[in-house]
Amino acid sequence: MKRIHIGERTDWRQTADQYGFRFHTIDGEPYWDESAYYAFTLEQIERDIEAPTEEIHEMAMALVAEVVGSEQLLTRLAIPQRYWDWIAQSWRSGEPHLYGRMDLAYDGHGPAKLYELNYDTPTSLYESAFFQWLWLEQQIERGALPRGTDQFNLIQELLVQSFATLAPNLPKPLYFSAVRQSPEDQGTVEYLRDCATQAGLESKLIAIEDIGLARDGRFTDLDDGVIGTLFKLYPIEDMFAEQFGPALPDSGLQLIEPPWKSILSNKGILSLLWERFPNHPNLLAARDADGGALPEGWVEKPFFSREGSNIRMNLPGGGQLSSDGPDLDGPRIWQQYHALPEFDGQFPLLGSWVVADRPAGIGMREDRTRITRNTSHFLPHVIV
Amino acid sequence: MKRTRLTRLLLMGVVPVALTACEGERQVQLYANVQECVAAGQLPAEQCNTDFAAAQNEHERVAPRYQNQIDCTADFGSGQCVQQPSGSFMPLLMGYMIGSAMTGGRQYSQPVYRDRSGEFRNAGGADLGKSKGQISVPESATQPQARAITMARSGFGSRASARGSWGGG
Repeated sequence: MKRIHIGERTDWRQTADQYGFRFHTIDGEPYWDESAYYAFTLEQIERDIEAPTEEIHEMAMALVAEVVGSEQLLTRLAIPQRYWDWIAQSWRSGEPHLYGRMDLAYDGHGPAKLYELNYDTPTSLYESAFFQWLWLEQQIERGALPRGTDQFNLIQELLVQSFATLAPNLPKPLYFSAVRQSPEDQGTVEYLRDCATQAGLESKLIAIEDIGLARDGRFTDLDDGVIGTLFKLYPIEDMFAEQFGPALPDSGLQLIEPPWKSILSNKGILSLLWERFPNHPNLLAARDADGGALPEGWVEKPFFSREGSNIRMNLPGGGQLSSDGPDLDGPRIWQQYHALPEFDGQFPLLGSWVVADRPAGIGMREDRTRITRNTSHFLPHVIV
Repeated sequence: MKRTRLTRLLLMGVVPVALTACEGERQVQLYANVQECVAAGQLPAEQCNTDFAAAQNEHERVAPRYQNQIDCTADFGSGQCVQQPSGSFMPLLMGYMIGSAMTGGRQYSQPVYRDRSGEFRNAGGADLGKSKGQISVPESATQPQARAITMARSGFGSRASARGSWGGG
């Protein structure tokens, strides 16, 4: 694993415009960064990333099956009781899911370590699946990278396949939804909708704020048409807590990601994974915070934080590091500190995608600090 | 290779591919009631009956709904709207449309309504013309979207705006 400098494509901004990539720069700061790339060997990808991704995914799915049947575990994960039956039903009836991303700390040597699962609203999808693929094709074509250079990236192909498989069983019509004011989230749902269209599936877009609730308990679009299936790029635990949340279980609405993903998007799952699979080489020790002081060499994360907010680190040998975020009450986990590797003063985090229950590809984000945020840079990768 | 050989975009590109140009027409049968269906002799009487019952059931689910009588009669004419126990108004069922699905040959039956100018409409509002019997309709008219009266919006999304940040992670 190496970080290698390379000339940017001089026309990459025009290319981004041409392909609908509107969030390559966020709040004036570059997000897409092709001044360098990460290079892996095929063995590193297959042995250290692909195989553990598949294994961790299976471990996580086995835990869902256990949690939906246990009031004690649902309570421990702080999932509101009014949604338990709905969540369990969505699992038992096999409501399909599309994708997830697990964040791994990996330095090219030894086992990758799982930081967390992003299984409900994972982003950086378009840039992982499409734009870094295009970068590689063009850099090979222009002679900047040798022919035969590869990339771990079957993400889009598997997304399209998944939509084609799901299509016959989804209540129609299908809507894609995200927060109106977020260019990144809007771009991500536009991209997913593109994949659905490639699979022959018709769909529409609606802002999450525009969704209506009808007198008869069904959810509607702006023309009062009933929504059959809703792909929502919006945290399920936020939906639970919002005004329309209690209407969800009886609405007949099918959600993607499905309600049972609330178990995996919850950082409490990291404690459970460690309890069920102690000392697994790809897991970090984790337990529910006990209310005492954060021990040295441990990291505190709220159950429901996203995008690296509200993280607190008590570094080995002293020193504190934390990220700000909204005021969050509620339970937290403690996870053993494991440093991100450092390359050229940057700290890369590896996002390993699971689509259709298969390891599908990776995306690299790096930050100048040890906490990866939504303002980190996205860099392409290759297999040499 | 660990990557896909060909990756493309349909909607996000600078020239999105037009996807609506190829919609086909479908042959369907439209009758005002079971007697008309039986008299036409195209379908066994038993099927005329079961299809009508299916359309009545669908009517409960997909019929256009209005919060008041004025809005309903503006679309369907006076005397054509009835109040439901829930308080909303729905047009009267004025017939049914029978066809077979493009794939698998499965039969379906949909309720139809008659607007104030006499045109038949499906539950989604698509114009089906004034003729009965064997007619030709756009493919999309055979699967109307269900309607409901929206009582409130903005019931999702408040936590994202409170956070001042995005939904995704």
